[in-house]
Amino acid sequence: MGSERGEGSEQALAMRTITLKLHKPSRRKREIIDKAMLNYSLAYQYLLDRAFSEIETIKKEYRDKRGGYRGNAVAKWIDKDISRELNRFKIEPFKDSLKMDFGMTMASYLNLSEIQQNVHYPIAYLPEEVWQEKVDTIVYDLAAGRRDLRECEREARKIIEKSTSLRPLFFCRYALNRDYCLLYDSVNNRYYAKIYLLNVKSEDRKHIKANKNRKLWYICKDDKTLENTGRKERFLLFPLSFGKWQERYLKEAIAKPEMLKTARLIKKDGEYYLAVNIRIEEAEKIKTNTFLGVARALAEPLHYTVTDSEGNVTDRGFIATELPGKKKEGGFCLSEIHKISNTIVRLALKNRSQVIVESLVDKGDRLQWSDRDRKRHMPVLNCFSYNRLVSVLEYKLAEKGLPPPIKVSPVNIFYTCPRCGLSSKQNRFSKDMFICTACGLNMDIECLGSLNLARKLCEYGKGPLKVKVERTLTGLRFVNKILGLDLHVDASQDYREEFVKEVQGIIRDFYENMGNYTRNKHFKQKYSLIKTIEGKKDILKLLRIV
Amino acid sequence: MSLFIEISHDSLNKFGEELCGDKVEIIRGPDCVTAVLADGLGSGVKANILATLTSKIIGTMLAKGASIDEAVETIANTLPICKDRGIAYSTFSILQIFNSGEGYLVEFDNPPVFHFKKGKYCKIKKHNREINGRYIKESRFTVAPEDVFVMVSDGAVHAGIGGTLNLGWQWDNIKEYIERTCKPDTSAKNISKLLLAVCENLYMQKPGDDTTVVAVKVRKPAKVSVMVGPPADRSLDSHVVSKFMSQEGKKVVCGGTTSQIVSRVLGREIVTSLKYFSPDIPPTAEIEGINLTTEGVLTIGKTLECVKKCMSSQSTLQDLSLLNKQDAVSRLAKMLLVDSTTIHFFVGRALNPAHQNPGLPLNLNIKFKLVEEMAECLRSFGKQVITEYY
Repeated sequence: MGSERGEGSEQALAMRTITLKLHKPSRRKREIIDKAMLNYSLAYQYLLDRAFSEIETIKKEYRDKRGGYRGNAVAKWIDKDISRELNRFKIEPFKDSLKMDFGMTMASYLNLSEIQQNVHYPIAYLPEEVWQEKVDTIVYDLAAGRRDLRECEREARKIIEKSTSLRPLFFCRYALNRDYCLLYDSVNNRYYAKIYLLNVKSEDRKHIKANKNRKLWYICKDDKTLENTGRKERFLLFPLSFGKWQERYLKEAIAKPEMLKTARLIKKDGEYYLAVNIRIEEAEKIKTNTFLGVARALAEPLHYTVTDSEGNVTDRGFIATELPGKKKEGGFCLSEIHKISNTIVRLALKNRSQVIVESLVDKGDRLQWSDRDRKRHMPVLNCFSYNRLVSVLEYKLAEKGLPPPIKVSPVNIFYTCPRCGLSSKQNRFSKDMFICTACGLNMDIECLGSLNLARKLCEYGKGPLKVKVERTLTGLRFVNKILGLDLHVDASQDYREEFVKEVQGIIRDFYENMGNYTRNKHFKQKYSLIKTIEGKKDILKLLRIV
Repeated sequence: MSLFIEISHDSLNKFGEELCGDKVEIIRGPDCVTAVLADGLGSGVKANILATLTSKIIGTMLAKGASIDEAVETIANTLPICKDRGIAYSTFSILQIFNSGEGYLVEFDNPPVFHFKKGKYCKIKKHNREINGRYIKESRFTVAPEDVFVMVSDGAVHAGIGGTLNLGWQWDNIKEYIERTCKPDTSAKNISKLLLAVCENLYMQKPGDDTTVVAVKVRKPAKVSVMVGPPADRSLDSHVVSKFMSQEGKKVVCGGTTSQIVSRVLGREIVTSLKYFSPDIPPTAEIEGINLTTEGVLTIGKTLECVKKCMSSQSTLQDLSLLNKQDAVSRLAKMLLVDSTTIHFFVGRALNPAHQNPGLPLNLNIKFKLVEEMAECLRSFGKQVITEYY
């Protein structure tokens, strides 16, 4: 499951992934899939290798105005020459998809390398002779002392992994006559996938005989059925098997086929799966009036605190998992992450809360503790699992109409006094106890983290709305950079009325396009300022001219 | 060696009790300061009576030169016997610090006293002794400036027991906390307030036992001279200003006319600050060689309020933190309360007609009253105060 950007769209959509198993494909079909995946993987690796040699050029030429990289833009690096080169891998049916897939991978890599050092260059697939050579290089580096054992082991493991698993086939569109689409047998209540895996010259093509007694309806806008064309076809037909949960979405897709988007064909443990991304309808947007801070903990995976807009605590507690036996530490599997995220979403709905989480990317929260016997106490949820949880929350909250989680710096959230603001390592007394060395406030360390998170935005919300006012030739100009306010009011107009109207318009636009704003530098301040403005009946009373 | 001993103490009553079963007695003699912390058996009125008797008897006897043996014997013969338990019991700690730098400590069943040198815990060598069936611990040592002693009753050691902390705060943890929070500029008041705030929070605002903290800080004498008002005789202006400037330590000038006189005599410019930290507090000015130059009566009046608020038993850490503000009142209050051990007031007798109430006699000058009240207040807090009138 995941959250994806819609094709060519600026806005993040509420997306979901349903996984459908290809039901007992024949040996012939399996061989075709395996061949297609191998070709795809080799072509992908070719692109990665070629891009690596031009990486500096790509970095310069495909950086956008904001300093980041976007998949669609980076994919344009694949020009006609490179595209022609790809034909030797016989990947014509997936060329468009391959370009898009490659673009997304490269953009992710380039964006990550901007904020983290030592990011490993992606690997798609390495044939045996190639990976053997790479492993030999690693061993040579280890012997020469250029790398340490741990690093070599990690890299070697990754390389070997990449030689044994093929890259999933990506289908960038849902279409009746290319990539992939779904069909439905209404009589027997069965579903099928039509997947284009062969090019026009392939000898593996066969005639597909549509069964006269079994009409297969395309899941599409028009009423179309699968017909015999009398030609050898480039696609294969697969019956699908799945659970009730997936069926719910398939039934919905019959009525709204436009919700079916991209897909990936995956091979796992000898079985084949079609992971289909579907766009789901967003629930009506809920206006939040509280903050829900969710921080890591030592006793349980997470601790949460709910505060009102003034920072007063209204609810708090642990978010536990129902794991049998020994308490798990560190990494959590996806299903556990989902259970935890569902609990958070329920809490956020119940309290109409804006969820605030730690941004555990380049800085940690220093929750771990070593006591006097040098015994280390680690958070239950490691950074990787926590970040995974945050990415799951991004779409789950959107599904319920709640705004996405706001990521704030985790620095000192377990060391800062919520009463007097003193931030010091000396404030932490033990694994569990926080005692402020300035004002004497003490509390449980886990409660402290989530409380500080929940109150983070309250800091920005204090104080007046400072607006710079300039006299122009025709009237007045009002400016506030954080709010994005730049309003010219003519001398003949009532500036008060115009000002209030403009601010209300900015707030409206903010909520409608919140997904766009979360990466903006001033997002948190803008959000807090908006909350403060909304909390006042008369905006003008909050106004301070500077 | 002459030392100044700064002492502060604060208490928490056991939840539901009107009287505290701990009692602190501070006796300042010409050559020593004695602090006694007594913890009466039980809680409430009984404990209060036991503790009061104990602390009063011991404090007075030792201050008058009696020996500890005599003091303990008197206690044993004086304390009433509890009907239920059949014993008369009050624990106590006695700390005596002489101006010469000698120190004497006696402990009986109270948590051990904390001693810190330059912010680090310093173990005191103790000798056990039996007096009338009571086993006391006795120590003699030398003290140095910036030494800190902290006495706590067992309410502090058990703070949070069974609640926020299973085993209570515990002595070692208190020691560690004081080490972390004790800085060279931390006053005895700050230490006692802070420790008590922690205890109150650990008890979740419902103390399970009477809790008392006594903080003693040894300081080098530090003087602040405050010139308030112009001399009645103009010809004395130079003499007063010269005498004022010859004092060691920090110097404060209060009043517009007074500032002008100082500026004229010294030949130095007055530079008025345009920073208003608070709308009801006049701004400060700067004169080279003067640490603080303020407005007169209004500032002194507000400073007096601030001083009383900070030093009252009801004051909180938040009140003390106000002393760190930059307005004239906070700065003056901090100088008088924290930075100094001796305050010398140079009070000019010239009258400002604007300060007079026409219905009252002339000797009820507001300025004089404020200074007198301030001096009295500061004396009650253990400061040495000298007032000269011109």
